[in-house]
Amino acid sequence: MTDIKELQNEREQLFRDLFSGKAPKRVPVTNPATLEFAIQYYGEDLAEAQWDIARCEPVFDKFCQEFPTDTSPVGSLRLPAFYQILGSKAIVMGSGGFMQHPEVMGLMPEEYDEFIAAPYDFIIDTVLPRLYTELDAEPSKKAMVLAKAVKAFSDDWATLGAIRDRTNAKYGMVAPVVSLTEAPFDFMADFLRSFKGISSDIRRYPEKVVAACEAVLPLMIKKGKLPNPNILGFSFIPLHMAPYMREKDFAKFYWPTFKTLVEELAVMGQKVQLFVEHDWMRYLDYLYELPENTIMRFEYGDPKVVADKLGKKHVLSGFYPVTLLQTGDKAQCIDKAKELLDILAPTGRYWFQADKSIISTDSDGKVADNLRAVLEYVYTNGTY
Amino acid sequence: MKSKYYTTWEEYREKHPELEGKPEKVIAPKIEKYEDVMFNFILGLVL
Repeated sequence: MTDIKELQNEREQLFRDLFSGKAPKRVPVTNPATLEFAIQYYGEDLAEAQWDIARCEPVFDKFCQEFPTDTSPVGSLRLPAFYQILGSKAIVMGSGGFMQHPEVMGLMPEEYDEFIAAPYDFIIDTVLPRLYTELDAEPSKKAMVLAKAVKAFSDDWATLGAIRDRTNAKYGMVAPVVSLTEAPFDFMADFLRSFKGISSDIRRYPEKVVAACEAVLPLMIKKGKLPNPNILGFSFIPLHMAPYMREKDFAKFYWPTFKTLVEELAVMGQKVQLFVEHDWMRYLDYLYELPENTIMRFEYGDPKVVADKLGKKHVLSGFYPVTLLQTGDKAQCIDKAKELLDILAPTGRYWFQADKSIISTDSDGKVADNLRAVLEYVYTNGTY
Repeated sequence: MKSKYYTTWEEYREKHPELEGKPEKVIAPKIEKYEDVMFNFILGLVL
C-alpha cells in the first residue's frame, strides 16, 4: 500500500469514527475556501474557468497541495452552462463571475391547491417556464432545450468529477458522496414563494402552507437519498428560514416536516449534514431531538452552549468566523482556532469547518495566508 | 410520489409489452436510473 493510500484510509477512518459517534484520532479538517476562491487566488478568470471547467485542474491541484484539508475543497459550485441554456432567471452569473440567486417567485398564492395536488407536475408545467425562460416554449422546443441543458450539466460535472477523483487520489483526500435537499418549508420559500411571499402566506393561508410542506416532503426525501447510502456519504441540508420565524410558527410550519425528512434519511442508513444558517440558539432543544450523530455546521451561536446541549449526541462543526481571516492577524486567527478546539474537541464529535464558505480573495493575500496558518494549526494540534 | 412525469418500473413495464421476455434485471435498473436522473435534475433547478 502506498503512503498516499494509507493517508486516505486514515482520513476515511477519521470520518467513519466521527459519523458513528466515536472520537476519531484527531479532529478532521475541511478547508472552507471553495473552488471559486482558488480560481481567483491562482490568477484565473472566474467566469472563464467556470465555463471551461477543464482548466481548473492545475488550480485544484495547487489548492489541495498548499492548503491542508482532509476533504476535497469544491464547495457548492453552480456551473453556468446549463443555466444559460435554460434561460435562467433563478440563478444568474453576476458581472464578477459569481453565480447569484435573485429573489424569484415560481408559485402564486392562488395556485396553492393545484400545487398541493401534484407538486412535481406543477413544478414542471408551471414553475420552470417562469424561472427558466427557454422552457417557456412549445413542447418540441422545450424538449430540445432540456436535452441540451442535461447534457451540459452532465458533461461539466463529469469533467469536474474526474478532476476531483485524480486530485483526491494524488493527495489522499476523502470525497464523501453528497446529495442536496431542503427542509420542506425552505423549499417552499426559496424558489417558489420567496422570503417575502412565504412570510405573508403563514398569516394569510396557514393551512395551505402546512399542506404544501407535507406535499413536498416525499420529493425532499427522494432528492436527499444517496444512490448507495454509506457511512462516508451524507445528505446536505442548508437551513434558511427558521431564524426569521416566531417559535410558534417554527413549531407549526417548519419543524414537523423537517424533522420527518431528517428521520427518514437516517432510517435509510445515511448521514445528514445540516448547515445551520444564521442564529438557531433558541432552537437547540429541537435540534437535540434529531437522530443521533446528525452533523450540524453552525454559522452563529455560542459554541459552549451548543457543546453542552448537543455535544453528547450530535456531530458539531462550524463557528470559526471567516471574517477574522480578513480582519485579524495570524496570531488572532490561530487563537480563535485554539479556542474552538478547547471548547468543541472534548465532545469527541468535532469537525473543523468554518461558519461560512470563502468564495472571494482579497487583493493582498491576507485571507489566504491566515487561512493556511489556521488549517495547519488545526491539522497539527486537533487531537482529542 | 404520483406524477405524470415520473414512472416506476412497474408502470413502465405495463405500458411497454414489447419488453415481455426481455432481460428485466438489466433493463429495470437502467430505466429507473434515468427517471431518477431527470428527477434530480428538475428538483435541482428549484433548490
